[in-house]
This record gives sequence, C-alpha cells and structure tokens, in this order.
Amino acid sequence: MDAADDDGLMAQVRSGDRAAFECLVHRHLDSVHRYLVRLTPSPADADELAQETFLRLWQRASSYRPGQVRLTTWLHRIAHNLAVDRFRRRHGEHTGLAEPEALAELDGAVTPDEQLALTRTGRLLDRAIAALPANQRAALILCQVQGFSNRETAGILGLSVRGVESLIARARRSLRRTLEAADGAAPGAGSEDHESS
Amino acid sequence: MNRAELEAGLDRWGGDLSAWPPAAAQAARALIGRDDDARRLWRAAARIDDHLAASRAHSAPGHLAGRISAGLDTAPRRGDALETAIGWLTGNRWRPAVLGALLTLAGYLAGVLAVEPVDAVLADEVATLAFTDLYGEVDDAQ
Repeated sequence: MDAADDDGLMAQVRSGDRAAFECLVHRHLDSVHRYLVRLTPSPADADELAQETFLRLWQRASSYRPGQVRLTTWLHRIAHNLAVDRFRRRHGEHTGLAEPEALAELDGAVTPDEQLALTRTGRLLDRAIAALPANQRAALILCQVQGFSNRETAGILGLSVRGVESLIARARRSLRRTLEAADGAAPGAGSEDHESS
Repeated sequence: MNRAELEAGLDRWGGDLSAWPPAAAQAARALIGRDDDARRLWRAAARIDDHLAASRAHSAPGHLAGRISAGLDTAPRRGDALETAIGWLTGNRWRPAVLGALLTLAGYLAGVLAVEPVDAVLADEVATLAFTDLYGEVDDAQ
C-alpha cells in the first residue's frame, strides 16, 4: 500500500469523490477494525467505531495534511480517540476491556483450521491481552500487530516515544509472566521448540 | 549477559533476536544456549510474538464497508455550510439583492448603535469659538 496513493485518493475525497472514499475504506477497513476489536469490549463496538472513523475521514478530509502524517496513522489516531471517548463516557475514566468471549465470537462459526489455531496458548494470551491496562494494550497492538513504529504509535496515543517503549515493555513482561505461570501450572505446556530467528 | 538483562531485552525488543542490536543478540544467544531458564524466558517471548503476528490476519465483517458507504448520505462534511450558502445565493436572481439590502441595513444599524454620540457641550463650544471675534481678528489680519 502506497502512502502517495492514499494522499492522491484523499485529495479526491476532499472534493467529494465517493469512489475514492470507498477505495480508502477497502484499503484500510481491515486494519482499523482489527485495532478496534482489540481495544473495545465487543465486536459491535468495533463495528460502530470503525464506521464512525471512516465517516470522520469523509467529513474532515480537508483537515488531513499529506506529508505530515501517513493516512493510516491519522485514521488510527481518529479510531483510538473515538474509542477512548466512548468508553470514558460509558465508564468514567475506565476504558473498556475486551472480553475473551467477545474475541472468540468474532470469527463466528469456527472451522476445523481455526479450531486448530485456537490453541490453549492462544486463548490464554487473548485473555491476558484483553486484561492489560488499555494504554499498554493499545501500544502493544499498534506496534506489534498494526506495524507502526514507536514514533508513530506515540503520535497516535499522544505520548512520548519513551512512554510508548515503557508501555510495550510492561505489556510484554505481563504477558510473559502469564505464560510462565500457566506453564508452571501445566508442566509440559509450551515446551515446543522455537528456533531462534 | 545475565538473566535479568535478557528479560529486559525481551521486554524491550521481543523474542525475535534478529530485531535486537547485534551485540546484545549475540550475548542473548550465548546465554540461551547454556541456561535452561534463559531459554524458557526466550521461548515465552517468542510465543507472544507469534501470537501477535497471527492476529494480523483479520478481516472486518463483510457488511461493514457497505454500511459505511450508506452512512455518507447522512454525514454532513466540514465546509458544506459554505457550499450551501453559495448555492443559496446563486440559486435565484433576487437572492443577492436581498443579501445586499440586509448587509446595508446591518451596516446602518451598526453605525447608529456603535458610533459614540458627539458630546453636545463640546459641540456648542466648537461652534461658539468658530464665530468669536478672535477668529474674526485673525481673518482681518490676513
């Protein structure tokens, strides 16, 4: 995906081109939705927030500054702020935590292949990720799943790069300790060999 | 490198040692090779990385893109107010005339209400001075 293409499409969106808008939705919806699914408590919330994110893109296309920030970074910032606002309104200062049941529900009917993928470790980690403090979870997902640099993640979350690094380190440590505790409780689990990269 | 340093590195850079600074990666590999607990720490970090990488394969529900496009019809765009105003003005010939009249009226009212009234006493003094002998004398001298 080319940022220059995105900027070109945004120029068309600014002049009201719906086809260009739909092209941008096609390009970025999966990524934005994936982030929101991890950040919010239910798939329905993720759907609504993703819709709202793209409507903001349509409404505020004129405020996008190509060259200053990548479109995907801008979109994730909108999505993150919408999610935080929604759950702050709903829960006061507490940002909603995704429940593991909601994550499992995402895929609907589970195929045999998906069943294989839903390993014990996977479920455990999903639950542990969902239980992370929201800012740690957001930083971890943005960097490790969405592929943003620490600097871009800092821009999305409105934090310093050092703050993002600290959040990610704490999140990783927390997840690692969860795995270690589970391995200790179930000897033999997680003993598969993992070749060094 | 000791175990605590390995842990700090795993928290900071993850379980993929190729993403570590080369010297730290080399030291980590050496420690992992000789220490079972270090190897266990590294495996846990690598499993987390694998899990996070696997979750990149995610698709939004199929209906969502259509729902978003349908929502555009009810989403006013920033800047649309100006476009609407321009559209209204150019839509009929009498509208610019009405707007001009309204602006003229607004200007008149602003002038009447905003400009400070002239001090009546001061105005009288100026008028008196203008017709005094002093002024007359000056005129005669010229």
